[in-house]
Amino acid sequence: VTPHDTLRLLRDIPGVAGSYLLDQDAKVLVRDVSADLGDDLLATVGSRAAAALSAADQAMSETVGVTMRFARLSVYCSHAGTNLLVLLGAPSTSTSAVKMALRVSATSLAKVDAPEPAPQAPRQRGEGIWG
Amino acid sequence: VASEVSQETGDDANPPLPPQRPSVAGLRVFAVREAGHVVADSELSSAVGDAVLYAARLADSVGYHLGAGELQAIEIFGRGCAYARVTTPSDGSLQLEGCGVGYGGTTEELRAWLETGARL
Repeated sequence: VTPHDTLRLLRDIPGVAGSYLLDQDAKVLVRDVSADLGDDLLATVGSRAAAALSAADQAMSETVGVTMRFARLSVYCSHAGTNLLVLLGAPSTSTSAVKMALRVSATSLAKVDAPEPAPQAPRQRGEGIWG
Repeated sequence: VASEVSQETGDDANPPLPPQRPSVAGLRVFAVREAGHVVADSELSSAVGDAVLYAARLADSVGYHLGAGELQAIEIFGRGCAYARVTTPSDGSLQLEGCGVGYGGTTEELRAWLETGARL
């Protein structure tokens, strides 16, 4: 299972629209979000989410994650080793379901230490032997 | 089963049960009023309120960058958990009503408890 597969599986949680993984320098390592969201925006959002997570950790020891609920979106962020996993979902997405998925995914995503190339798009019917 | 009554919705003969104050020890209750003034039931709760307020300000910035609309709530989970609902008055400040526990509990429990009208 590749890191891309792991992120793609997170979309099976009802309401989750996509996710991405940042390193501690806010560099995008793996992404499974719309191409409309540039890496710069993901880094900007991720660095603020990481700071919110650190602030939470000051008051509540052993913090695993933070959920931010907005009128049109929910944003979840969680540690994956030294990396930061960010999920984007619908406002009504259940925190319990996401928490479990984050716990399961964090171990494998913690091992990612360099940007993963995006997987190649599946071959279209018009190519190759069908051409 | 038809005879079962949901604790959440109840029916005419069996009104819904109010959420109980979370049974986990050490519930910390806080609120953030105008100008970032934290009101809390203890010094520890006040520290939680300060941290959640800071996290909420960062979250507000996250929402701005994503065009996600107004921040409505912030939840913190781990060994313990905290939940704060957020309102944004017209002056743009953040006002919070929240609570947290140092160990156990779920943010859903905390939210249900806050929704009973708990106030400082």
